[in-house]
Amino acid sequence: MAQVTIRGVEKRFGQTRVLSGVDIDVPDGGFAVLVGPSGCGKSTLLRLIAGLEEADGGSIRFGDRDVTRLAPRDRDIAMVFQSYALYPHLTVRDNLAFGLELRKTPKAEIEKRITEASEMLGLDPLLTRFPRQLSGGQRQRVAMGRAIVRRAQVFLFDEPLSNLDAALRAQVRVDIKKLHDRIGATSVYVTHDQVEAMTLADRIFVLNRGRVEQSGPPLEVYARPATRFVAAFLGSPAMNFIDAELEHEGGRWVVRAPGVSVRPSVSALGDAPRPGKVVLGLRPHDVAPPEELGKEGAGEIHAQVEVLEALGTESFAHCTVGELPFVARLPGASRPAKGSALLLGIAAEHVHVFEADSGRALWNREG
Amino acid sequence: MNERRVGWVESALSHLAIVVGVAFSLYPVLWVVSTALSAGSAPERRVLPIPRSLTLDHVHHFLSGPHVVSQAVSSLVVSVATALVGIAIALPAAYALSRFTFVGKEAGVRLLLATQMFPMVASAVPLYIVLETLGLLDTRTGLVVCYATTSVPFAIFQLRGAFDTIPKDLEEAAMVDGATRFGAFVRVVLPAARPAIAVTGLFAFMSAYNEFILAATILGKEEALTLPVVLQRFVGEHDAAWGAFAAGSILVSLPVMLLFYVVQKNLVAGLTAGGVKG
Repeated sequence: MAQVTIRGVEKRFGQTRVLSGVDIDVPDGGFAVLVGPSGCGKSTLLRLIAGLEEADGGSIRFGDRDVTRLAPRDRDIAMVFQSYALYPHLTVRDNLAFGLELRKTPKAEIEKRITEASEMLGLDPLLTRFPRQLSGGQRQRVAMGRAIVRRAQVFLFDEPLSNLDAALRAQVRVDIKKLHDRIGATSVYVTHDQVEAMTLADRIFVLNRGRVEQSGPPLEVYARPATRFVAAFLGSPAMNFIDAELEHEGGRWVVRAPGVSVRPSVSALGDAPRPGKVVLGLRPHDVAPPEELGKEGAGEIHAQVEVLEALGTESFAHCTVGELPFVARLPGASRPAKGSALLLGIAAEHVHVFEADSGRALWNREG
Repeated sequence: MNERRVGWVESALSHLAIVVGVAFSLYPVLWVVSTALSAGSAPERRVLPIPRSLTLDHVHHFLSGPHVVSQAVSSLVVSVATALVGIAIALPAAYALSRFTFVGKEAGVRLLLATQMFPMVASAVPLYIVLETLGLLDTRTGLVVCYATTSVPFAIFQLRGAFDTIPKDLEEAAMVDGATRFGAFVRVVLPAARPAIAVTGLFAFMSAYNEFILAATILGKEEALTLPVVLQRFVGEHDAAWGAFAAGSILVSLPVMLLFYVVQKNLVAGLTAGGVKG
């Protein structure tokens, strides 16, 4: 095991800058998730860590070792590929043994590790089969097993669940979490799925256009997004954004837009806020009719219900606020009629305010 | 009920088409067989290729040639060598073309393609001069070199296509697992490309085994002649031993048939299926 330290990593493909000045820290035994939309550079970053691509600048260290210029085989990593990349001409057993045999591990030790991994992953009945004889979920497990037997310093996962169906994905997600708790290997996991990111990570790195937009424990990042991009990326349904004005009124700051008037907390505004154009961000899960808010409300949102999606335990009301679309989560019991007016409240700590031009949260303003 | 009848009609029609196709392609072959087994030296003019009187005389005639064994060996040596040399040179070249980008790659590929546009005969005279200069005239090595000039480019194209279909992930997984790039090539890419390699080798073997003009030009020693040249001698300008020629043709075809039989399992692609998501 080792901690992973990445400093100022740069990568270009021809004229295209894919990564610019990326810093990542993963503590020993930590689980870092790199998350972002396609093209944000997260897979490239993982390939740099693996040594499958060479960095144009910056450094990558595993513990005390500088691995920036090392070949993949010298880095002591194990990787689970999105395509699984099982060797088609080898049985499951030989797939698991492949890396160990290359490293001249003693036969008895190989046997022991295969037994251990196949117990962990339930691979026993599959050991004599070929990859083409396995289902998607089974292949995925073999790919995990091939990484586990290596007992490498760093585990890398490149969107390992994206080829599984939704039900299986949820199951394997939990399995990966359990495995990590059991093995405790330093892991770097790439995904575009925010649910995977939120549930697996003890630290997430939200990437956008080759930069780390924000990093931290997932719930912290969720609760306090530093930019509009991060706010929009985490959470489902996505945060509602409303163009608004920040006004100073009777000693208090108020954000106003047609049909909306809310008072953000002081910490959301940062030092020395200035009145003017802002973007207001409100998560569908944070708004509720005032009587159901359970907290002191910090303003009012007047919505017009257009469509109601009732899911049983909860409903999503697709509304308009002013002229803009707005989604609100409602408890299962409330069923506002289509076209009816809906009054919503929100707690001050859930009000997010972003600069209109830069998209940065007001507390995260530059300069 | 209705559906079943449609299925029956469809099946009958497709079988009819197959029977016609098979008859069309087998008819000349059956004539060769008939000629080989009929007494007399010229084929008879009839519609159905059924021999009137069976005889093995023509087979004896062909096999009793003074150098027939060494000529058969010569043919096999030249063909196997052509296939091996072709594959050995083409494998690394095709891999490089499939996986790496380098200066002159596209130009090189176009040049390779250009060599495929000319018939082998067109280069017979220059090849003759080259071999003469190298002192390889009238040697099997010389003939293999000539055959390689066409088998190598063809094999490169074939194998490059095959490598293109093998996901890069497989090699990368092997490299992460501890292999060098060459190790990944040998341990993962080659096994995955085995069907394509077998087919490419088979084609190189066959083209060398069947080739006549260069073999007739370059080889002179009676005992080193390849079988197509030997066969041709049975139908000379003045007398034509069609029976022996036909019998020889069948015997000469046997190794290729045997090879096809052995390799057919590899002709069915799909070994890579399942390695990555399917």
